[in-house]
Amino acid sequence: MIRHRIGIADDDKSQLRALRRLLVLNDFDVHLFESAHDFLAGYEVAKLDCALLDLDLPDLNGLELQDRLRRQAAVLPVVFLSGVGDIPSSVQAIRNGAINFLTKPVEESALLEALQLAMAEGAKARVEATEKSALRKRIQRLTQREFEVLRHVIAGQLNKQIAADLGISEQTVKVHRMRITEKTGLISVAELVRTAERLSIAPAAMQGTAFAA
Amino acid sequence: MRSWRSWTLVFCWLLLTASPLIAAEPFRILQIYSNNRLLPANLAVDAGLREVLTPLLETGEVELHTAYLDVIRFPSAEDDAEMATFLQSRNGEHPPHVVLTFGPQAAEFYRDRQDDLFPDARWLVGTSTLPSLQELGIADKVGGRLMQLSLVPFFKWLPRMLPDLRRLIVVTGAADFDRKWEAQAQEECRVLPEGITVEFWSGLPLGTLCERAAQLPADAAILYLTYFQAPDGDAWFPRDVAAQLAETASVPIFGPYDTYLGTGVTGGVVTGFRDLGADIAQQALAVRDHPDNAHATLLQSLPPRFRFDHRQLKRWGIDEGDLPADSEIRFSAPSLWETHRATLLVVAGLLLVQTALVIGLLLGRARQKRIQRDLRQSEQRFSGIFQSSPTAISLIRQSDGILLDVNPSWEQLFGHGRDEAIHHTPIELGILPDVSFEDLRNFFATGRGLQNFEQAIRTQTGESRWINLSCDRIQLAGEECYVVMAKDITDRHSLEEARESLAQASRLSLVGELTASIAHEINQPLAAILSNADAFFAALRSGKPLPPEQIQAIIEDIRRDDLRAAEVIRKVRNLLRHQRIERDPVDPAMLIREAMRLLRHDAARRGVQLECRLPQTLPSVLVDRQQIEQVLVNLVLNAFDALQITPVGSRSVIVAAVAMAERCEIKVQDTGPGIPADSRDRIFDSFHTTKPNGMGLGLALSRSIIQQHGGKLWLLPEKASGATFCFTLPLVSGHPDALFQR
Repeated sequence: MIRHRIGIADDDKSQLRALRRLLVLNDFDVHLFESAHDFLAGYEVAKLDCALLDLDLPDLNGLELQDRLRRQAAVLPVVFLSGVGDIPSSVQAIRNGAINFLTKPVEESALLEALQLAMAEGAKARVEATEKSALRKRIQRLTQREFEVLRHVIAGQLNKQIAADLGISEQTVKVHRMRITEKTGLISVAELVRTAERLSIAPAAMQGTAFAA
Repeated sequence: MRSWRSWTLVFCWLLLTASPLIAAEPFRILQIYSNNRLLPANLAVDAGLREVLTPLLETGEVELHTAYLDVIRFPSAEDDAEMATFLQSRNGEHPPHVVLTFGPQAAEFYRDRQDDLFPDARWLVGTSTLPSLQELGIADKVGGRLMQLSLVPFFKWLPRMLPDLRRLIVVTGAADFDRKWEAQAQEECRVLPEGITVEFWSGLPLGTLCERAAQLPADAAILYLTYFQAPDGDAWFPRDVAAQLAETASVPIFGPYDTYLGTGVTGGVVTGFRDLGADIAQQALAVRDHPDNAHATLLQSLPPRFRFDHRQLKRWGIDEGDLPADSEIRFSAPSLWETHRATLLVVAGLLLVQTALVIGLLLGRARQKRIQRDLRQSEQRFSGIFQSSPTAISLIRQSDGILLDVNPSWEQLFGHGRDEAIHHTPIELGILPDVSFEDLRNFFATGRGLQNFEQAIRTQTGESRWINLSCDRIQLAGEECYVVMAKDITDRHSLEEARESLAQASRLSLVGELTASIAHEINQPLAAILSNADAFFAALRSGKPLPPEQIQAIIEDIRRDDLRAAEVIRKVRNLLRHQRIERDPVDPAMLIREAMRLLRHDAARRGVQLECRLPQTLPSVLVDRQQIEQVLVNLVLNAFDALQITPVGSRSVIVAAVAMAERCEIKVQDTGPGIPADSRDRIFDSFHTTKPNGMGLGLALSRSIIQQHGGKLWLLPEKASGATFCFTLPLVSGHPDALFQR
């Protein structure tokens, strides 16, 4: 059985001990942090699957900690557990991607439900991240010119228009497109567009007279 | 028995013979105004009165009491009744010898209550017309001075002053008083020659009025009478409206009051309110000196006078040769310094209020009038005052907040030299650390003044100091400016004050901060206890028994957290109960004054006018003094919070107390937006709040404190504006356990 790794940040030691007992008995691998900086220093080493954060930490508040994690591009689902939860901070937490915002005291069932959801979301996010990184690797195999053609293709342009925009022959465009299909394994235009969207590749800007009307 | 009686006789005889030796009782004058304390006309009348009475007030021979009905803001009969109760309790034991009423509403108010209030006082009226007195049925009962201003002389002179005039616009507001003026103008304008058409713009919204006035052709002129009320019911000072109108109008404006002069109004046949005040004061003194004259007589109006603003005459190209021979021309100084002198007259007027310069300046001003020809001398004098005043004075342009001039005291206080200060805004100089340019601009845009506002400043060396700040708007070389006077009060915020305010702050914020910390401090242990208990259950569920040392650890943690929570609650209880609950007989007036003293700084800081209306004597109540103080402070702070969105000049809180049969009733009334209808039923519930950061405990706690004292705390039904909270306290005499409580 896989034991999920959870990191808890709270400045109340008694609370930390109690949560560790509870979550260890529910088969979690529990890591405790008494401040936001401890957490930032240790979450990668501990390979956490999920974070349970108090709002009221001694150095940074929970929302700032969440923000730092986001900026470090951590794939780490966050659940808040706070004693002073007010509406503005809960809204901000959820808007910034928190899975749930629980208030103390919390019952075991509510806590576990939120953590399970967080694990599921985390798993999804990791799958997504893995897929994206595989796709990105394939796109990275394209030459500069091929990438340029790709951006025109996903902008919905015909070979003729692409040739005119890039100042090459239509035949050359066809060769480039073949290479793109070979290297990425993506056959249809629809697949290319979807992939580009996931990787945030911008379509080429529209040029020429075809769109003047 | 016999000897007792003879002693009484001896005592009475002693009293009778001794009485002439005891200092004579002061002659008491009560003046009642219809309108607000700040109405320019009222200020002028009051100034005129004091011009005559000041020497006698100082020696104590005369006492002057004042009441303002403020009818536009407090229009209901209930408000009137409250005022009557207030006057009765304040002046009841020492009734005035003369009552002066200014304005028709004050006359009506007093007519209905004369017999109950002060039946023996002589009644003099000012600022009333004969028809209005007849309408009230009191024309034969009162003395005083009529104020019947005829517009006929003005209408007769108008074509001579403006030969090209074809259209005359008569502007009035929507109040009853405004309409009476309009009716009079309609009647009297018939004397105008054929070629001039008269239009009446009555009760227009101010915006529309100014827009239309801005587009008038050159052959028109405006006669602005009064504008006490806009059609939407908003109250205005006619002088402020005159200023706004003058700012936009494309043609000259004439008006019937000298208070309008200086706002941009050209002039007209005017009534001098100050003259009237002085005249009425003389009549009041005549009553004192000849008490046998059974009837005070009603004198005819003071002769009308033509008064004009030199700058406006020049602006509109009106030749002074065309004015009536006895016209008085004001602001006739061509040089910048002389306009400065007019400014400094205002500065002086404001200084008078605060400092020992009061009398010197008044005399200086009177003397200065007499020697008006000698411009240079007066110029030097006022320049001297500006230069040598111990008060820091600065002149700031209203439109952009630029400092135009500062005096040496200002330089000394702020540490910036005049040359580096002028042509900059206070914000650029960094002397107002907690004020943004936006704040300053918004304040200037209101055009209002400030009195005794407390403000933190930063001097050039970076030192923080506290100042007491008063300012007013004036015209300087045709520009709207603010005269700002600042007094360093940092020393007043000395150690003792600091300690006091610390104690005060902790008392004021007790309820608010306690509740927040209760929530947090109790939540932590509760959360840990719950998780520990859940962990125990989880262990039982799993069927794997926990090792005994872990069970012990869990139980120890639960115990410790439980004690932690209990400790928090114990502390809170102690704080709220002050440990000792003692009920002592307390003078409610003293209690209220003490609470107001705690709130004074806060009121000044927030620009709130905090006023007590207390009768001279109140019976003692049986209360825990600190707890009731807490309730009062709480109610007044709530009122302050409610006033945050009210413009600075209109923020006021009144605390009034009245003795009833077996209880004392205390009211806290504000001029804020009132309690929203959907909250009225719930405001006393715990954790219901209308404030963004409120905990919703203040009123709930206050009510429980009052109820513990055997009283009630409730919200009065909504009136014209604001909220009024009322609570009762048991009197010592009325309390059944009174004897046993001590």
